[in-house]
Amino acid sequence: MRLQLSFTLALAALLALASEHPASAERPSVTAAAEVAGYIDSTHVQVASPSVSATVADELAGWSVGGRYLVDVVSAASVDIVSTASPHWSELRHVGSAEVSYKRGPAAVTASGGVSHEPDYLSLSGGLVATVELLDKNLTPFLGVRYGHDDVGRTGMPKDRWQLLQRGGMQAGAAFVINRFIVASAQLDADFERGYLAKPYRYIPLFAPGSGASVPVGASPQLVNELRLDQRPIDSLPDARDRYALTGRIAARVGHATLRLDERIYTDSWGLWASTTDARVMVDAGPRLLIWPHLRFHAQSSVDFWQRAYEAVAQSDGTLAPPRYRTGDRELSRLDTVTGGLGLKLRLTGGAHSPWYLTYQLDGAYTRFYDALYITERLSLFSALGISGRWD
Amino acid sequence: MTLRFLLIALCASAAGCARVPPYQRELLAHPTMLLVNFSGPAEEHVYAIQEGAIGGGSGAEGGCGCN
Repeated sequence: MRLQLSFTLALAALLALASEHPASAERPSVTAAAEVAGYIDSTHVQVASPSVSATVADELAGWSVGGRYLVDVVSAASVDIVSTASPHWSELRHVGSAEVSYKRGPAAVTASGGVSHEPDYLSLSGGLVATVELLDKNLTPFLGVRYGHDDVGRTGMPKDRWQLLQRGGMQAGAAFVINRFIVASAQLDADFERGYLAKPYRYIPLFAPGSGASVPVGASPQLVNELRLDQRPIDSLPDARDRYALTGRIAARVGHATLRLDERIYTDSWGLWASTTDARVMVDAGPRLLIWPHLRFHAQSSVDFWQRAYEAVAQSDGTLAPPRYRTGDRELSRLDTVTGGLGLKLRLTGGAHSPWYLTYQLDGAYTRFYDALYITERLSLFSALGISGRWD
Repeated sequence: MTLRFLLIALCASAAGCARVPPYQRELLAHPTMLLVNFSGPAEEHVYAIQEGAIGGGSGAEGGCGCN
């Protein structure tokens, strides 16, 4: 009888313990997600990007392991291709990445790595970020390093003729609590690229000395072909680029909404300056629905050596040669982009455990090119539909 | 030089901060208050190609493969 009573008491105590500390909280949780993203623009570029990801995390033990696989299916027939009489092309890009985190006390370390492969490009990258929580988690400084090794070629070119690009970088900053409603962070990124930075498919139209200014902004391929010299040198860029970005983030909770504002100031050793402002207002539209209007504005100057129409340089022997650096990459010219859209996240299941979510995002963007050939503007549309679930 | 600039920026930013105890962080614990990059990988790739600037992300940033 006493044994039976002891057993009953022990069972009751165990049940009570279990209700206070659910078994689920002591087990690793698994999160899995799938997303299909699509991009289309007015220069006839179309991209479909399905991806899957999964993370296993044990919050009590302080570790997590995650991975992601993404495929880009790119189809393009852009104005650059029209102007160089190249055919429409399609390409597959495979991207795999993994991340491992470990937290012990106030300190945490996250290691990440990635592989990106396509027929003419192979990129391997890795990074390490360390954080430490100070002042009762009111201040969290972080420091990170990263390295990337890229092999750049052309489809069909033997691998031994591919070019090497190495990227090293660091980031340092801190997140801090400002008050009961506001958190903020500041971050400095420095990236150093060495090696082949040009575009191996781009050929640059070359014009006679003194005639470049007469080629108008947005000149059609036909006009460019009428005015240019027969020489058509390939894209050539400096083999070193030092890039710096200072990013500030602030999140403020007001009522049932969070205002999120990001600002990035960027400059590099090629003379490009840029400002990128990204704002989202994330509103709890109900117990299961979160919606966020999104606005982004990016403005940049051109690189120092940018010319809309590169002129040949007369040599001492009377021949004409292209300038040392020349590019047709419009993203190195002066441009502005305005992006606006809407996102939503819907919780599909009730209950405290194992939630499922549906997410959707639609963004439209308008880019104005101030000093480029072929086009003066671009309209693009990006959308992403995702589903995620967690098993506690 | 850059490190000095960062330290000055951090000190200036932290000067206006209040030390908030854990029991007053109910609003700060909301998932939308995380200071992470909310853009997904596909969206980030679009920005990497369309904009001449990089930085502000977390961890390693792969090559854009946009040759």
